[in-house]
Amino acid sequence: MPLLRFTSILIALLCWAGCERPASNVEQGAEEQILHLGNGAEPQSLDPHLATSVSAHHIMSSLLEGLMAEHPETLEPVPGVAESWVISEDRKTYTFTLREDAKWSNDNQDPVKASDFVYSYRRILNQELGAQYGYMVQALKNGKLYNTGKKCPEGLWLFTKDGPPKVIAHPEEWAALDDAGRQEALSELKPEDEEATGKCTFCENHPKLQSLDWDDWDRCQVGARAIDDRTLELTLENPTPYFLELLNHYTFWPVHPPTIEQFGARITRGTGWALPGKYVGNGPFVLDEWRINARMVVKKSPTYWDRDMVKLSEIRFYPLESVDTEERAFRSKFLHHTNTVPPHRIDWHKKHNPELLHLDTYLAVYFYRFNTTEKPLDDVRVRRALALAIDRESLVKHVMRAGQQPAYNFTPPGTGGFTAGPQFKSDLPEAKRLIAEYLKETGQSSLPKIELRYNTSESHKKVAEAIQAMWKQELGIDVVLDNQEWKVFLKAVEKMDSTITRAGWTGDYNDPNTFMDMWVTDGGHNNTGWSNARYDELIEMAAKEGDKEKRKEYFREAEGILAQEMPILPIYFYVRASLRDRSVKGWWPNVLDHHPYKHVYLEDVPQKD
Amino acid sequence: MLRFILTRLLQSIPVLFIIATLTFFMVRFAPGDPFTDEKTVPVEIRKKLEEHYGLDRPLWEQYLLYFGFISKEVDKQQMIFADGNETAVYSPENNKFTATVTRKGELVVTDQSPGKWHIRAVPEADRTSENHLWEIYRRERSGLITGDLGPSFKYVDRSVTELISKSFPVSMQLGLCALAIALCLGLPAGVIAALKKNSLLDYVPMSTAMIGICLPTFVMGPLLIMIFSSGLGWFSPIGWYTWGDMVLPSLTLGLYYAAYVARLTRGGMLEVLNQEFIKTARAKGASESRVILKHSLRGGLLPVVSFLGPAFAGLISGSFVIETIFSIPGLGKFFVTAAFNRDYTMVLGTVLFYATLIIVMNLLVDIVQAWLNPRTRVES
Repeated sequence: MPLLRFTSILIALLCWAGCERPASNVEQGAEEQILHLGNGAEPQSLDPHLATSVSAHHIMSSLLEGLMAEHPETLEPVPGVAESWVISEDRKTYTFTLREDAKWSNDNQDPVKASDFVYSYRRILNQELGAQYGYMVQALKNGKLYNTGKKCPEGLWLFTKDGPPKVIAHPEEWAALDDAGRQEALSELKPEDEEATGKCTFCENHPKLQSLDWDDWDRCQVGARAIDDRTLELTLENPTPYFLELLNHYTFWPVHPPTIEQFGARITRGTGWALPGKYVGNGPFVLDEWRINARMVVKKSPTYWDRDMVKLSEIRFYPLESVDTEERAFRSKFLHHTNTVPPHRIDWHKKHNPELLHLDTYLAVYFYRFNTTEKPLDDVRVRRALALAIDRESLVKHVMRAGQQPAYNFTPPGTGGFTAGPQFKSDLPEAKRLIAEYLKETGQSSLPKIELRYNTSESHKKVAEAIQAMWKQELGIDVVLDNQEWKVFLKAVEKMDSTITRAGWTGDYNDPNTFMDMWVTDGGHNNTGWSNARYDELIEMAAKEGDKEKRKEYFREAEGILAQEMPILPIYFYVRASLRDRSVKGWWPNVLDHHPYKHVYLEDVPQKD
Repeated sequence: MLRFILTRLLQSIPVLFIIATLTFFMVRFAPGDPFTDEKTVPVEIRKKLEEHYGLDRPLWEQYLLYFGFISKEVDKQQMIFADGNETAVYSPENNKFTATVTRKGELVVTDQSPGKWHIRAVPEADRTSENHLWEIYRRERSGLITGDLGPSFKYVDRSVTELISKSFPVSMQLGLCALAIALCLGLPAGVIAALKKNSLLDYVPMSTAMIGICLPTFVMGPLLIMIFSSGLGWFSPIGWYTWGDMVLPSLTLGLYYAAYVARLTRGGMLEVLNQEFIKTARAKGASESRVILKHSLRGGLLPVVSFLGPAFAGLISGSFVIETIFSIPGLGKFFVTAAFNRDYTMVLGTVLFYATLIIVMNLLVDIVQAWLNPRTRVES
C-alpha cells in the first residue's frame, strides 16, 4: 500500500530528525555568545541618513557609533567616538575631541576623523538626498537654511522657515545676523524692490528658484567644522540642553565618506552601499548577512576601539512582524528577547512566566486628535467634557491590561527628567455641566453624531468601543466608529477629514520638546486646526532657554494650556511589553528602549522547562 | 501542438498588458503614497523624493515610462560657461569621461561615457545667467519592455527584480514540498476510498480530509509548532535555513492540499469506475491493478489536474499565512506588504509575476490534459 509505505517513511524521517535533537538557540547561547532578537518590522535601509524606523535603529546601533554613546542603564551620554568635549558658556558651541583609536571597519581601517562627521551632516542635510529625518540635524546653526533653503539665480537666497517660503536674504549676510537682525532684515525687504533694482529680492514666487546643492554648504556656514582630524566644533542654532542626547539619534551618526563616494551615494538613494559586504561602519559589530524577511546578522568587529568590552560574538535580528510568531519562537527557545508580546497573552505570561515578562515604561503616548475647526468640537467646552468623561483607570485596567499608565497630560512622565503631572482629572459632573451649558447656549437638545476614526487594528477598536460606550452612557453623545487602512487613515488625518482621530506618538529623543512642539501653530503634525499664541511663544522660549529648570516651567505652562484647551485627548502612556530570557545580562529597561549591545552578554542559567 | 503553445503564449501578451495597466492605475488611485507616514516628511524633502522616483511627472507619463514606451532623460547637466570662456566642461568624478560644450553648441565627449549624450539650448526664459546657454543629457530606456521592474520604494537599496528573484526560490521549494506531500497522501487516499466505497477505508480518510479542508493553515501551523517545536524540540519554530526547517511548513501547507486532492481523486475515480469501458476491461479479464492504473486512473485524475494548475501557481508563489507563521522569506509576504506600503513598483512586480505564473501553469495543464484525455486533443 503506497499510503502505508509513505507514512512509514515519514515516521522514519521524523524519528531520524528526533534523534538529532539539537540544543536550542537559548540553550547554547552562553557558550556561543550569539544573541537572538525579535526585531519587529523589516528595516527599509541601514543607511543612517535614510532609515526611518526603530527596528533600523536597533541594528544600526550595533554597526555605527556617534560622538556620544549611551549609558546602558540610564541612557546618560557617555563618551563614544568623542573622548571629551567642551561646552561654551552660552551653550551654543560644542568642541569635541575624537579618540585616536576610533576606526572604520574597511580594509584600511581608516581612523574616524572630525571631517567624516562634517561630511555626514552635509549629506543628511542636503536636499537632494531626500532624508526624511534630516530635520533632526537642523539643530546645527544654519542647518535649516541648508536643509530647506532655496536660491535664485542672482545669488540671493531664500530661507524657508516653516512650511511655505517666508524669508529671504544673502546667505552670508543671513548667517551672520542674530535674531533681531534677521527680523529687521525681513521687515526691510519688500517685493517692490525687485522692480527698482532689477534684481530678485522677493523670491517666493520666482520661477527660477532652485534648491541648494552640495556646493552651497560653505556659503550656508552650517555650524559644523573640523578644526583638525581629531577636533570637531559644532555650533547650534539655540542652546539645546538635550544636544548630547540628540547626538545619540542615528541621524547624527557618521558614514564613511570614501565608501559613500565610491558608490556615488553622496546625494543619491538606493546605490546599495548599505548592504553586507559593502557596509562600512565604526560600531562594535559589522554587518554580515541581510536576508529580507529572514534575518540580519552582525558579528563582533575586530577594529572597534572598545572591542574588549564587547562580549557577544554575534547578534541575529529577526524581522518578526507577527507577534504570535514571535511569541512561539520565544517559547521554543529560539529567541532570547521579543520585541513585543501579544496583548492577549500578557495575562498568561504574568501568571506563568512572571520572571520573563517585562513591562517597561516607554516614551510614547496614546491619544485622540480633535478637529477643532468643526462643530461641535470647535467649542472648548465640548472638548473638555469629552476628555473629563473618560474613565482612564478602568480603560487601562480592563481593556489594555498591560499596566499602561492613564494619561492626564501629554508628555510621558519622566521625559528628560520632566513630569508635567496630572493637568486635569476625570470629572463627570463637570463634564455633564459643560455639555448642558453648551447645549443651552446653542439652543440644541442634543449633540449631533460625532465620528471617531482609527486605523484598522483590534486593540484600537477595543479602546474606541470602550470610549464610545463611556460617552454614550455618561454624556448621551452618539459616536460613530470608523476604521481605515493605515495609509488611507493617515491621509484622512492630514486632510483633517474626520472629527476625532486616533493617534500615537513616540519620542525621537529624551526631551519634552519632542512631544510639545507638535502643537505649535501649523506644526507639521498638529492636524487639529488648533492654535494658541502663548503656547507657540512658550515652545519657542523653551527652545532658546539654556536653563533646565526654566525650560521645565515653560513646558509645564504649555501643558496647562493644552489641558485647558484640549485640542487633543490624552488617553494613556504606553508600556513596552517584552519577553526576555534570564540568560541575557547587561540589559536594562529604559524609556527609549535602547540597549547598547557592547554591554550585553549571555550567561549560563539553569533553564526552566 | 507547437502552434497551440505559440498561440497561447501570444494571447498572453495582451492579457499581461491589461493586468499591468489595471494594476498600475488601481494602486495609484489608492489614498496615500509610499512616503505617507505618521511622522510627516517636510515639504522640500518630499519634493526631492518624488523627483527621485519620478512621481512628480504626470501620471500618463509615469505610465509610459513604467512600460518603457518612452525613454527618460537622465544625468541632465547644465553647462555654465565661466565669464569669457569659450567652452564649458563636465567631468564627473566617478566616471572616466569628459563632455565639452562650446558656446556655439558643439558637444564633444571623450573616453568612456555610459551612453550617448544629447545637447539642447536652454530656453531664454529659463536661463539663470548669460552664461547658461546649453544643457546636456542622456536618454535612457528602461521599464517593463526591457525587463526592468524598477526599484523598490520601501527597501531603499533593493530592486523589485532582486526581491522577487531572492524570495521566489524559497516559495517554490516550499510549494514543491507541499505539493509532493499533497499528491503522495491525497492520491492514494482518494483512489483507495473510491475502490472501497462506503467502507471504513473510505469513511476514515474522507472525514479526515474534510477536517483537513476545514482546518485552516493558521490553526494547523501553530499546532504543529506547539507539538514538534515547543514540545518535542525536533524542529526550529521559525526560519528557513536547514532541511529540517522545511518539514513543518511543508506539512502545514501540504496537508491542506492533500485533503482537496483526496476528495477530488475519489470523485473522479468513482465517475470513471462506473463507466462501461471499465466493465468491459474487467469482463475481458484485465487484472485489477491494470484496470485501476491503466484504465481508470487516467480519467479519474482529470479533475485533480485541472485543480492543480492554478493551485500549483498559488503554491509556488508563496502563502502569506504560512510565511508569517513560520517567518519564511518567501514571495507571499510581498503580495500583502507591498500593497500596505504603497510600494508601487513592488505591487506591480508581484502581480505581473503571479499573472505570468498562472498563464504558464494553465498552459501546462492544458497540455497535460490533452495527453490524458484524447477528447480534448481532438477538439483543440
